[in-house]
Amino acid sequence: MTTRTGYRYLDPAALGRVKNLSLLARGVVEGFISGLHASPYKGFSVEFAEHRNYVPGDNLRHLDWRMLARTDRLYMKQHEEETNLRAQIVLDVSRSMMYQTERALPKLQYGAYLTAVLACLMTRQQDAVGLTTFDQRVRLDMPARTSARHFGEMMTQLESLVDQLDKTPASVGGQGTCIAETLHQLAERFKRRCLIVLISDLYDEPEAVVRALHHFRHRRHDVILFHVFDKAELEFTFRETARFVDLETGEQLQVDPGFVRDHYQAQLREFIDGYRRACSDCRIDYVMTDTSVPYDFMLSRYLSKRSGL
Amino acid sequence: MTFGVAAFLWAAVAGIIPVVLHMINRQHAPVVYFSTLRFLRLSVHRTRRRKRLHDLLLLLLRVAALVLLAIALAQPAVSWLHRWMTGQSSTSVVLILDNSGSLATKDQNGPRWDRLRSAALQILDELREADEVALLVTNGPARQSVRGLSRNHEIVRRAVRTCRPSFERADLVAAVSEARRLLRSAPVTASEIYIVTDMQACCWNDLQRPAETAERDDAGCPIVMVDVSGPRLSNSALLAITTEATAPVAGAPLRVTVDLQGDAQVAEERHVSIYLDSQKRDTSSTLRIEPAERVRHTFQLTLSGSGLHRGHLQLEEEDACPADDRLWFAANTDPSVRVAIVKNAAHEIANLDQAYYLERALTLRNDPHGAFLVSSLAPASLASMSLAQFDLIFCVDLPAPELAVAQQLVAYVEKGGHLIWISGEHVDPVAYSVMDNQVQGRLLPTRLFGVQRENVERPEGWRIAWIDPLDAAVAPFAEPASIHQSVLITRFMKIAPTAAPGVQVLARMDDGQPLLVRRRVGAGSTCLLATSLHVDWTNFPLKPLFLPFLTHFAFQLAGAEANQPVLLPGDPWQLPLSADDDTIVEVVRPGGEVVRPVREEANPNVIHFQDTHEVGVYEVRIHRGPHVRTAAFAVNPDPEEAAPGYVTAAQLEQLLAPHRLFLCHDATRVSQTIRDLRKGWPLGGVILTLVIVALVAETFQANRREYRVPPV
Repeated sequence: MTTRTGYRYLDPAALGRVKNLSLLARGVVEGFISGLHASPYKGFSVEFAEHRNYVPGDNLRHLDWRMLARTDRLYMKQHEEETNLRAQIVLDVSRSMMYQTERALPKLQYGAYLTAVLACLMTRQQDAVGLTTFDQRVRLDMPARTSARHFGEMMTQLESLVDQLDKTPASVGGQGTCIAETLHQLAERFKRRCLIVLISDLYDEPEAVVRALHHFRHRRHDVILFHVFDKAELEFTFRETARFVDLETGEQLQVDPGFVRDHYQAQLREFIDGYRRACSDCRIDYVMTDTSVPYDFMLSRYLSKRSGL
Repeated sequence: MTFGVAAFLWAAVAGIIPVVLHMINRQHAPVVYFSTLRFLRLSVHRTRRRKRLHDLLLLLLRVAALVLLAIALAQPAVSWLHRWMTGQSSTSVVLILDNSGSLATKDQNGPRWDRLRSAALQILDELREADEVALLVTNGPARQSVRGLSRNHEIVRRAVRTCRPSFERADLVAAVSEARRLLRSAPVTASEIYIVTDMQACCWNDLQRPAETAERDDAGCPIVMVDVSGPRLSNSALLAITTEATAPVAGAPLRVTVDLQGDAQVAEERHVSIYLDSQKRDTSSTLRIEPAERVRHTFQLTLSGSGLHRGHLQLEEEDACPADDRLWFAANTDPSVRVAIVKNAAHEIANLDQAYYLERALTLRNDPHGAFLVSSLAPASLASMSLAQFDLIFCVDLPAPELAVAQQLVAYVEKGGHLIWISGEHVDPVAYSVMDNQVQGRLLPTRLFGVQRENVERPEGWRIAWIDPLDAAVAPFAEPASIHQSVLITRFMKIAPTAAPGVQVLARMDDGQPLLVRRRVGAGSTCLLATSLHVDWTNFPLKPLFLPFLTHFAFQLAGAEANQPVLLPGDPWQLPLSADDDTIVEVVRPGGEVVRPVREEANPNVIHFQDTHEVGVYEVRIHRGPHVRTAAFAVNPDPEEAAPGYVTAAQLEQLLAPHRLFLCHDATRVSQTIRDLRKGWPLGGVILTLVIVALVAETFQANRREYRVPPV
């Protein structure tokens, strides 16, 4: 369904909730145009930052004449240059993200909605936004751009990809997700510092994924991790014995939910806590959510909290 | 266990349904697509064992619920009277009826015997046609019982109707042992024993287990005991009777002593009357019987007239049990003991005759029916005379008899005669020894050594110092010593000082030498008085002791006594005889029936009379050739039957183990009790409860793993 915005996954109501919020980079980012974000570079820009001594050969345009008049000394003005954010939204489109329960969005769609809102928000902030989707390999890789046309292209690609994935029968199993490996590749691909927004269920070896996240941080990227679940995955609300089929591998397993629930939940808790701790250790924003929580509500809460910091 | 509707047991096959459903469910579990199995895989692995146990338990509960429901619908019941399921073809039953004396008691709810008979008939009514039954009546003639297992129930019914209470004590332990023997030999495996009794303790052998132990198989043979006793009324009983007569002669005093006891909780007053020859002779004063105490009373009578006298004691007041209110006794006077006195030629002066005092003592009454029929014989006449006609032969101061006479005398003694040698001047110890040797020492009780006369050492002679207090022939005169110490002996025949084997010393003198000895030879005896019965040798004939001693001794030897024996019902009466004795014995029962007991082949020297179940006086006529001697004995109720003790169910269970014991206290509802026992205790309720428990447990078990909101 196409919303009034013209894009299926860009809901104006959701957009309206976050429009007054901004997504600021935590640290300095290397933007290429003026934007909201602090630039690491000190050059000549609008806002005065500090003085330095005149060195023969400097451009006299930036000489501070008032200081000369007052002190008979030659000083050059230095200015902070506000620049734009380069962000890359990395969306997991593996089969596990196709999981949904009744009255809930598939995780992929949830992620798509989240991607759209984030992309729109950042585009309005004059930030450059790119989109990368992956499962066992990178499916779509759109570099970060600021233009509205680029945004539209991203949305179109996103819709097309999701539609394509939707059409794949659940019975056709994939080969699983190699999140860690793909994240390592992406960490190498993004040369310049940027904000990485990872939307995934992270069903891979936690240690390997954490190493990949560390890789991003090593490359001085700012990372936000949206760990997406379905409520059924969290609570394991199944009652009847059933033959469970892995959406990614096609593996089958007969399970009596009553027996395994406690143990499953303990493992899941440990899984989530592990990521939470790892993200906390390397200063990655970790946001756990499930598809029963409206994405706009979740996002606005997060952005408010992030802005307050 | 039995089943009322066994067809429902087929429904237990439904127990396989949960198994089948379980297997179907496993194969057709719905498919659920899930994001990842990485957590489920480990969880399933960790909980696999617990799940298996849970599933198994659940399966068992479901199967159990269905199977138990089928069993409950089949109306199960536990019955020890039916070993297998219904449809058993036949049962062997032994019915034991306790007809001991206490069954004649009346309780507050009526006579026990009536209830016993009613209970027995109810038991017979509950038998099926194919059941075999035997009847064991504990007391009385064997003809009352039906000792073989039989399908002819009518014979048993008739026997029950004609059976009567006895006066005896029952031995129910022996009856149960006999019942076991009967049932072990039965071809049918199912068996039951019924005992109808009043639970009196004395019938259970002091609760001692029998020598023959129960076998393990007996555990499958239940014993149903019907208690026919009711709320008791008080009862007094005559327990024991003793009679004493100094001599079995008319005019001699007779003392009759009776013991009474009551079972009331308070003292009671009773009166006892004595009857002799159907006439009431005396009534006691008021006898006060304290609880649990015995009272003794003695009647003193004089027997008039010769012959057999029948008497009984009667409790005047009516009480619960009339069977123990009467005791019988018999007294035999003037038994006509035939005595021969063999002596030398009579002295011309009568009182100088050696046998003078003896003859006078034995012929006090000049009466053809007197106590002693005395014949005086010359030694020469012995050879040609049949000595069997005499009960006693006194040989008074005789020279040693010839061999032929000696042999005849030996034969006489061996056939039951009694020979008494009286010493005197003509008794030559050497000749007597030769004579005795010729007959292999069977004529004299001991050897003779010569005459001892008073001498310097013994100027006054010897006195009787000791009389055997245990021998019935002389015991009445053993005490006090004063009655025999006055007897002086100036001359006596020395005999062996110590008794040889088989020889009994009945009296000794003050120097320890024997005075009177006896030896049993064959069926009779030979005695020797070391002194004479004449004043030349002793003053014994002049002493008051002489007459009663001599007559009592003679009566005892001849077996004639006033006090006739008293037996308990069922006790045998015996008469010893020699093997070639042609004595014929007749027994006249109290009811007048004449019976001739025969000798047993196994023991021809004794006549047994066993049929003493009737109480009263039994007259015995002993025919020896043309002569008839009369004896008697009385049969009285067993005093133990009056004992008030009763057994408890716990005591009987221990005694009769491993049999299972069922007690029926209401003799009017025996049929219903048997039906209930055969039907068994219904288990339907119990099993339905188990079904409900199984279902509840299954529900809990199935829903143990409930959905909970996880705290993730």
